[in-house]
Amino acid sequence: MATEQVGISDNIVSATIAESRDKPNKKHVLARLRDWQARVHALYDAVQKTLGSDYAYDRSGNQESAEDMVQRVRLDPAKVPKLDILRIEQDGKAVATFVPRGLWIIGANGRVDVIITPRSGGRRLFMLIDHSLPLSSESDWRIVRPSDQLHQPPFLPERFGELLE
Amino acid sequence: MSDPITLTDLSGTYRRVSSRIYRILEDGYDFAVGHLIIDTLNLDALIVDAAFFVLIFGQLEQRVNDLAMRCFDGDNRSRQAMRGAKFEKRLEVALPGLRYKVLRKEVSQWYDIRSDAAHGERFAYGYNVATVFERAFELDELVRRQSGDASSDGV
Repeated sequence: MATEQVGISDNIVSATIAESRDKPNKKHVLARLRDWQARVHALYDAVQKTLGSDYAYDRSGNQESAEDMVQRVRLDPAKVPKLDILRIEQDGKAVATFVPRGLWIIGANGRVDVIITPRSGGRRLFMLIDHSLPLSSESDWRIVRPSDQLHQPPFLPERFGELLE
Repeated sequence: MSDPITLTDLSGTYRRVSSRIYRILEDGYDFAVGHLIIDTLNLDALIVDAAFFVLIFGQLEQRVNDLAMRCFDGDNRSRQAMRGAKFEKRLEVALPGLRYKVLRKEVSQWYDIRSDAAHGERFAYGYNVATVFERAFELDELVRRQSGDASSDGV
């Protein structure tokens, strides 16, 4: 009888720690960056779809990763996929900005910061953290409020409008 | 002597400390005219996250140490030698054989990452401390179970 192995898991922490110990190669890093770009842009598309035409969207700003992993494999900057920065406006005023913060995180498959200027005033910061496994087919976005980072409920794009109130 | 710190203590502290940093960061976004304050506060948050990663791993390491030492109950010389042994050795004794090969590998990889952060190397990664805590509780439970197995095996 085979010995039962203890500890096998499809866990995001285990997966990202294991990845960090492997020697990186350009092909893998590029695949991760392309996947990151696709996931972030799909997230923006979902938010825009749910908010609809009451808002204006500006995705002309962009950002490219200069993370340690990209530098370690000496990836040509021209080959690094650029990520949009999403700016949402209403009546000519910015009400929310989505800024990709980083892909290589122990315990996550990337983070996007969301800075919101609600109608009630002030500014609020939220983090969207993807709990999916690296290069898995589907994202698992969670919304994190800075007041309780250990609570990471699913992010529902259809409820994003409530944060802008 | 005060009670030892637990993973649960650490998670409560992390919740309180990180919320303070991010409230300041939120204010930074409100008032900052440049990015310097934002970058500084983000670095603060990263350092706190890395420090908690080290502390969380410390709890796992302590569990591994206890288990390794228990294998030499009554043999003070061997216990002494085990106390000074490298972590890999203590891990091998605490989680022996093929059954624990995967768990050993995972804990060992945590140790490598923890060493990078503890020795002040440049942080190549961010940390999502919430999922790190979740996994640490799971690993702690797996190691605890081995502790039960070892007892029932007469170790």
